[in-house]
Amino acid sequence: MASTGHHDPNLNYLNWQKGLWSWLTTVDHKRIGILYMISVMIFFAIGGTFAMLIRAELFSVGKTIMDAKQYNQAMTFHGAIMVFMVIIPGIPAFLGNFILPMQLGAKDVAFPRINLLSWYCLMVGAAIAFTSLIYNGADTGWTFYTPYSVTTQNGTIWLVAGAFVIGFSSILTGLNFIVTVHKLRAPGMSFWRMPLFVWALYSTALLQVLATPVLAITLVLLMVERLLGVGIFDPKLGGDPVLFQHFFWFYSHPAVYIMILPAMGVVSELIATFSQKTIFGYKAIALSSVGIAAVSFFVWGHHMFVSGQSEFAGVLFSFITMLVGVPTAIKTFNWVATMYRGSIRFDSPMLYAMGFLFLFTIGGVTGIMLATVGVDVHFHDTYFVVAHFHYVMVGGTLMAIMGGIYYWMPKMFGRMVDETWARISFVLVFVGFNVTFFPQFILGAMGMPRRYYDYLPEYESLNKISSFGAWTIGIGFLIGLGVILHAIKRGKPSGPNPWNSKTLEWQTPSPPPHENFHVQPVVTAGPYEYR
Amino acid sequence: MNSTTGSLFMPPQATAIAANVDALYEFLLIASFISCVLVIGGLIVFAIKHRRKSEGEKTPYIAHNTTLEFLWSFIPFVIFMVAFVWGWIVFHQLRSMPQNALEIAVQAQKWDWTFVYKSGRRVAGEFTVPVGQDVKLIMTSADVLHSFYVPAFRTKQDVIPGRYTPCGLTPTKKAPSKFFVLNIAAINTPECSPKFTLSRARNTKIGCKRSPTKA
Repeated sequence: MASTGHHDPNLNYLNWQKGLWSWLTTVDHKRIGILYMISVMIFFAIGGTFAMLIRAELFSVGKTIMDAKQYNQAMTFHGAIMVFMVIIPGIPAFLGNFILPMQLGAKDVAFPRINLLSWYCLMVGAAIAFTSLIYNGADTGWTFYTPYSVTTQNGTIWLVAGAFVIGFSSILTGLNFIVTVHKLRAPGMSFWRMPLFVWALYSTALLQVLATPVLAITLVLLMVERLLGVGIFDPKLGGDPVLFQHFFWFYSHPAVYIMILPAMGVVSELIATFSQKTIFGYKAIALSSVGIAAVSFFVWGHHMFVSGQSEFAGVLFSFITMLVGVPTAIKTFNWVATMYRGSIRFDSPMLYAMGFLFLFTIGGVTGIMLATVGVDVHFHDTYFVVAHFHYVMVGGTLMAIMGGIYYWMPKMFGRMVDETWARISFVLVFVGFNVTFFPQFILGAMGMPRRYYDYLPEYESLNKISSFGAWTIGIGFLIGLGVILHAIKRGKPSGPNPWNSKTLEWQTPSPPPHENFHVQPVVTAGPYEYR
Repeated sequence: MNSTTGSLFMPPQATAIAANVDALYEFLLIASFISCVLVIGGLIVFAIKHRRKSEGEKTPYIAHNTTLEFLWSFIPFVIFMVAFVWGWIVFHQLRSMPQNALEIAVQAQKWDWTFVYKSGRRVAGEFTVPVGQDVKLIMTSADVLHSFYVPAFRTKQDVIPGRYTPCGLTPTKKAPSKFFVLNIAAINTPECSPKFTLSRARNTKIGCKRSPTKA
């Protein structure tokens, strides 16, 4: 399909224009993807540093390295950076930007300039958010719950304003992807021939476009209340703090799926490719992405089982949350079934995909425990919840990002990663992760509240184990960073399709030319035809 | 409820409802364990059994299996519904307000709690009820969001400024239960967390201290 006959084979998207300005003004989706990659990695390093500091403080009872105020700020910045600047843009804006148009057989996204604008929104929003540090920082946690956030230190308003601007980055990316999927598919590419990564990004984009504006409005209301004294959420001004929670979680629960659905898409690609086998239950996986996205709009109240909402509301939200479990279980079973009678190779991307399945399964079943309203009352606001969402967000999304980077590294830079070091990095991250977060399930069951600066002496040994695990993860990711930088600089040339993958992005040179394909691809079969 | 020992890793049980919560917790643990063994076990078995022996191996085309897909959709659905209904029953018990209960007005504030009894007695930072007595707390906050949480009671309820939020409980045992005052919005300060339960012969007395001390 992809002929290079009339084109300079040495020209690709990396070298067809040169200079920093060409990068800062680029409208090439691949270059914008790389800009996101650099930004997200920097933000991840900052957010990860806060995580290390938090675990250092929690290493022992009493003050270890910081006081309560500093701890609250470290926790707030860890959460806000990881959610708004790393996990939400991580897969859609970075990997999605790079890969989605190519998987569709398109030259670019539908609105290339808006695509660049979305990256600038992220950067400007991040700059505003970090300004918070100049004004005493913020100590509300990433959820900005009222009425505390209306009255606490001034830095909070900057962090809120930053999150507001970053939201536009997410909305614009989602809008771009929806239009791209509808209008720019290659000839012959029906919806049922789209790769599952595209299905996942499409479902995510619907969430980004429909849910993020609610967060934006909520944050504006918060700023209006704080700056102008208009009573919206603060009872002293006639407002209702629980209303804020409803608004906030109406966005932030779908946001959980903005974080995890693209990861599921990456895992579908990895498992099919490294098993060299047609994906089992293609339509079920594709539709379950859309199903999860749709149902996710109606489950926000499970964050509020003890908030004072009515018993009926609690029961209803518990029921709907259980329904999300069904398509999620279907996906998991389909991935495992795809491996059945496959030809499985354990390259580092596949190790990350298997790590995802392992951790996401534990994250999933503990999610069902938390959806069960009768026991959630005890687990709510304890370390059980912290462990659960890290198993889903870190164990799920970050595993998929790492697997995705190693998988598409040959496509992005035409080079292979060093497998030995990539595997060492994986083992450290995987083992460190379980050592960090599994003890937190036990701490939560024992009743240890989350967000606390200090804890009872009987929780100390498990907290020490957890801290050792966190530092192991840190070392693992540092090695992973080294693997990525080494591959970009000195990795072995990969050739166009080192994994023998069947999706369209691999049917063009690596790295790809400026407009992806020298010849317009025509699609005649599904994306996983390994027979 | 005879035992004060909680289920695996759970705190001691100091209300009748705690045993019901723990029974549901045990069911969920077992169901979760079996699910993990099936999925992760399948993953490991297939990974070992079907590892690539040589490049260019052909793999079979298995796109779907209706029976299998129905079963692995329907069986989880049934388990989820069992968990949901059971959870609903337990939640209803947790949220049911006892009749003729001893009513205590509770006000939370940074960083203390005040308990006002029907008799007009006002106690700051200490909460005392007789064992076996139905109690109805009517709670509000003077400033930000707080949360009333006694792990041994398995009960937790946010306390919200501008609202009166009820919480019913019946302590059945004197128990070395920790009393946590969660401050959701302001997160925490060292002087507000954690707080401790003291046990007496006939009463469950929940004390509020400035620094951690063993009960």
